[in-house]
Amino acid sequence: MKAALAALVLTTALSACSSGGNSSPVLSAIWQKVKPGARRDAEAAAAEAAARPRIVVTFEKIKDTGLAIIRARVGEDTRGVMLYGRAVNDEFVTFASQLQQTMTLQGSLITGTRAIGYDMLSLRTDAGDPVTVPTPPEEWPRSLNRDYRFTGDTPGGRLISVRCRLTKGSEHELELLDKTFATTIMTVRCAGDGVRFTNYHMVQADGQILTSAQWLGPDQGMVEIDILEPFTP
Amino acid sequence: MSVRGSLIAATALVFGLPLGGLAEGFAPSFGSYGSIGIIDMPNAAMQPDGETSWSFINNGTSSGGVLNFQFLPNVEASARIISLDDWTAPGVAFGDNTLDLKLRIARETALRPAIAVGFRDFLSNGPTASEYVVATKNFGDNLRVTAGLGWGRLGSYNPLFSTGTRPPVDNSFGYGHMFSGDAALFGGVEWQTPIENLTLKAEYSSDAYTGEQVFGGFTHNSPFNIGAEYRLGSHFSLAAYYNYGSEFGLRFSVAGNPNRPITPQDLGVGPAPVNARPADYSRDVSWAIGPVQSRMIDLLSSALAEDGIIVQEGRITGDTLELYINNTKYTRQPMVVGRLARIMAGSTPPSVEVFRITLMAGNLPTTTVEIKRADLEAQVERPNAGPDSFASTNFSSAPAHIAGENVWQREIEKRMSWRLSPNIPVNLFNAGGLGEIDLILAGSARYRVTNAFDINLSVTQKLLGNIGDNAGVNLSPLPHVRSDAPLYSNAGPVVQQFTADFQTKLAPSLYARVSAGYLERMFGGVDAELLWKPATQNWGLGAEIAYVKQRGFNALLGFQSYETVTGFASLYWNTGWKGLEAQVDVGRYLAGDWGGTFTLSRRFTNGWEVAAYMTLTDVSFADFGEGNFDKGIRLRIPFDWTLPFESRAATTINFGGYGNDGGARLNIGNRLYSTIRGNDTTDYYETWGAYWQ
Repeated sequence: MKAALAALVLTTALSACSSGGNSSPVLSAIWQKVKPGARRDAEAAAAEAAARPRIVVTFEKIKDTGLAIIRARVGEDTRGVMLYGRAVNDEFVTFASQLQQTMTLQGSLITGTRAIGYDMLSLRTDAGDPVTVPTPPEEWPRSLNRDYRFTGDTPGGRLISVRCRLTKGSEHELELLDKTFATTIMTVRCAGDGVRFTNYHMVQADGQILTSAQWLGPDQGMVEIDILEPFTP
Repeated sequence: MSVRGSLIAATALVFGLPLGGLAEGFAPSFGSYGSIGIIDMPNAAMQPDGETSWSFINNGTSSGGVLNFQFLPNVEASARIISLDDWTAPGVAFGDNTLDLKLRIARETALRPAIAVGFRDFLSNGPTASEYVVATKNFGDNLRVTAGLGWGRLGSYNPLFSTGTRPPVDNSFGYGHMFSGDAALFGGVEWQTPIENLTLKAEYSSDAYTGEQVFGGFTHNSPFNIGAEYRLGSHFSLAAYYNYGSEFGLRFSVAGNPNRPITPQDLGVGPAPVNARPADYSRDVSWAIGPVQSRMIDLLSSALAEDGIIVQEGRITGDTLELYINNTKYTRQPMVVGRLARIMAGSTPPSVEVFRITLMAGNLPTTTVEIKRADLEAQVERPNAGPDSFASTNFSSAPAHIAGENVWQREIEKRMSWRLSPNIPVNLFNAGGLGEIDLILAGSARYRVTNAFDINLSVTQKLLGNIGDNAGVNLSPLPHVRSDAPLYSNAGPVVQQFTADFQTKLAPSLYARVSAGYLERMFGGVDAELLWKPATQNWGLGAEIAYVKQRGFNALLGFQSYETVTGFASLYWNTGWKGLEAQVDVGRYLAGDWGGTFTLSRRFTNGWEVAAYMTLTDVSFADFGEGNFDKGIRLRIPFDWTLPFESRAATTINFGGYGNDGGARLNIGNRLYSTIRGNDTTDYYETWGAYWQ
């Protein structure tokens, strides 16, 4: 018993070194944490970051960049990561972070993610989906269908088809960066193929979505995005 | 058709049956045999597809380890390596290595129970051989009831009726004993208690435990067994039993599932975005004249090396860019193809319309993937991009080199390379003392003479361990081609391998290899191999022949007198269904015995692989010794299953194939099929989802 357990643990953890300079990623990660001076380095970096003047992001500064920009928050991250428009393929706009994590949006609907965790390959939705085309809240349809695709063991991957019910919620005063917006909370409740989730969108009177909480898949869960500067052709 | 015939026919059909209905109730758990069941009795429950576990069991009458694997959604397999106490004589245990199978022939529905047919010690009339038909029904979320009918051991207590005469236990191979002899009823209940993760079990056993009572002090006082299981998270479970009215038993299990996640989490770097070329892009190809071509590939090669893609050959013309590459980073080949195509689209003039990417396995080009840039631009980020891209991509067998002029070729930058790594062999098949283990420091060096010709040296030094310490007298009547393994397990330094290896492609679908020298720890000689495997075909044929001489026990060089010719014809078939792959090798083994090996493996999208094999030769079961014939299971676990980034590193664990002379093959690490597998269109189909990742 002990022998087999020890073998499993050791085989996984022990390093290998080679003329190519490669070493075990597991050991490398541990070494980076425990090597002499690592703690001092981390503390110094934290102190340096705290001493830096805080950058206040405003809509004006966002506009000045001339880029389409979104901000995404995944999991317990409260600050979010900025992603910048990098590619346009018809109505699909791909945003990328500095670390090349990408998120593709059709209008305000997230239709793909990469390197953010468990990838969403693609999303097909009904024509006229109000999350893809700015639609005033009172004109949102009552239901629609969406097909999510995740990686699987065929080119089509794992397909999850859901039927969504769209409902208009309460008015909400949204504070975003340096501005306040009057929005309506729109709720999109989806279910099908063994999953059930609810997306929320804060929508302006003209249908422009400013902030969303959207489902990225059964393994990834939800992501919140702020559309700080939408893509305009 | 007789009852026996019907049962055997039903089990044969189960692989193809479209089974409807819904599984209900709480999660199934292991019995004391390490398979899904009640305590000693089985049930018809199944785990999620791919669930894999290792259990340590001690029932009071036997102890050992069990590798359990949900091979298919309706097929459960277990490899058991147990020691039956006081079986052969008082104080003398019997080491039993068995393969158990359970096939679900009907799923549970609202009105009908799940029904399964099972075999313990499949195709072998050994001490634990038994067959059963069992039905299991869940009532609500907390109660599961099972009833079944067993033959063999499971028909030995209070039999109900008889289906012919069962031959006495003789460890013979075959199916003649199956579903014959006395049949008895068994059953039990499992209750998921209000205490989270605690399940209580009780059963009526139809096993009389006759063999255990012949020499041992064991007494079978009661057919009723009771037990409790506690699950620690989703990976560990601990169970305790009070069995037979006289014995306590324990089980500890470690479990994991290669389907969770089906592909690894990616917190690395995403693929490069693709912007379509404008409609009026320049189709001028005059730029592709002169040194600009090789300069472009030079730059591309440097950039790609940062991402673990090593360009070996390249050629760019006005409208085509062709690269031969080694993927050193990504587990799934379509992922490197997709990322490379995106980079090509972003770094080449708009006139380049065709991307030809050839994946190499070592120095062997395998499959050429041809992608039209216009297709890439039309599909990227769109719904249905996965199926559309696979349909528009061309696959073909790659020639040995890129044809044409001005081909860029990577120089051999470092002829000498080396690697130092720990190696932890485990011998679980020493039935007397389960779990012999060594910790070995392994050093290897390679001198690359040409791209196709290497000199390889591997030396090990045992640091600590006990493999070989319990070696007994070797009474094998066969040439001692493997049974002297403990004598080879000396401290070292040991020259494990010292070979000259030549690999090449003779034609786009024909691979060749010759290795000469100290091929492995126990044999040296010359080994030659041919493999015919078109990239667009899901099967291939191989032939291998070797003249070898047995090496000396001492750690370095030298030979003994035994020499032989060994060789095989092989058929490889990638079924394309749930990652299943079959291999048949027929030929002459090291001890001069003739026979065949059948291997069935299942590879998961995320790199996990489980392979089960069995070898039958003209060596009699008596001459073969413990286990009657060679069989085992091999488990490969990729590291990136547990890491948040891509890595091609993996660990392999073998259960079986240790120390038997019959059915023994040369341990050659660079056989052609194992080198190039994972690169045909069937493999690409199964993992193509990664193309856009």
